[in-house]
Amino acid sequence: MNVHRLYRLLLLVYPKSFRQRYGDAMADTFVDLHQHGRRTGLRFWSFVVSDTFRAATVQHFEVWASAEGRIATRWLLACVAGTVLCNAAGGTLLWAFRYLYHPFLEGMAFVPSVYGALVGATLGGTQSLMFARLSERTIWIVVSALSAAVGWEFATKVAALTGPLGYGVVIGATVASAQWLALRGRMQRPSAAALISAVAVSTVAVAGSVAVTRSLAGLNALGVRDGGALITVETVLGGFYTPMDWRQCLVGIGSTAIAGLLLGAITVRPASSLLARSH
Amino acid sequence: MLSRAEFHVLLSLLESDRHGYGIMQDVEALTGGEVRLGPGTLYTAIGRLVRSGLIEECTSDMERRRCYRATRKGKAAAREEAKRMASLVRTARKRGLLANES
Repeated sequence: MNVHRLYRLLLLVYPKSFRQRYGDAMADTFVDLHQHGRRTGLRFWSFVVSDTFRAATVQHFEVWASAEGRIATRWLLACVAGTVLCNAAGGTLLWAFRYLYHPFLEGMAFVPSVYGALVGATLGGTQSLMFARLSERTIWIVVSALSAAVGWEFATKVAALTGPLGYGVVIGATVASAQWLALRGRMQRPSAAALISAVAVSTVAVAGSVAVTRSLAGLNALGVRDGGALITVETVLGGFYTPMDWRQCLVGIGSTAIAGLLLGAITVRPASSLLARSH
Repeated sequence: MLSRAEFHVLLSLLESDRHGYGIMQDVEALTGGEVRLGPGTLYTAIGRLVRSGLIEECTSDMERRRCYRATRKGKAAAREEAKRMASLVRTARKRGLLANES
């Protein structure tokens, strides 16, 4: 590989917008510097590499401080807020179920779709705040809640056979398919956005299920009772935390916040593109 | 306020239009080799100066390369920055940080 190609590779550390604007000119300047400059060998490359990383850091910071960067930051915060809110809503629901327990409720079990709807509604709800129009917000919440409900219902059936991987893939595929239907005509390349979403949701679902297995509560959200497909709300929500003290509460909030951050980070690019159009 | 790299790029373009490597060479010569701009630092400064309207792009006749020239606003900004720096130096001199030079 010649040095010019190597420098072209080095240019990849800059934000895309900066690279598109000045990449060719920088490569030309590099060629001149390499051919006519006084520095050679290690001194030359240490100068070029340190300059590249210093300037790229500045450029990335400028991108994050720009309008697009602000949208991306808000999307990440919305995802984190959604997962933390889901944790809080689940905990509250579980606590209310226990506290207000009446023999009349004996034998009552909540199907996984209820849990899925809760996840979809809370996460979709905080994400929808990013949309400008009320109609778009409503569509996003409904799509998220319905697809997550269907996804969780199927995923728990599959999980008994495939384990966490199949569980995650089914949820991701279901949610992403619904998002693809909703996004068609609203953004360019909705299939690419849906694919990224599928990867994000699957990753978070699998990571969540593994984390749950190892959680302080020690309950597995993938556990199937009575050999059937039903999972009681206690198992599902308890798996995602039934805090017994403040430490467990904080660990629960922290782990769900990380899950939200992971989801947001994977989907930030298509989401920013969609939201920039919406605004 | 202009950064050091931005000020040097502006100073370089006050004399004539230049392309990227030309600016690099001129800045190095102007500062006696004290300031050496790499391509990243140079184009970061150029990008900011173009956005602020202090310099503008032009096409060199000799080559297809993009060149840059200082705008009227850029020349005024460079003058203001030089005055600000001169004022700082006077203040530092009053405090005995620098020896008096004629």
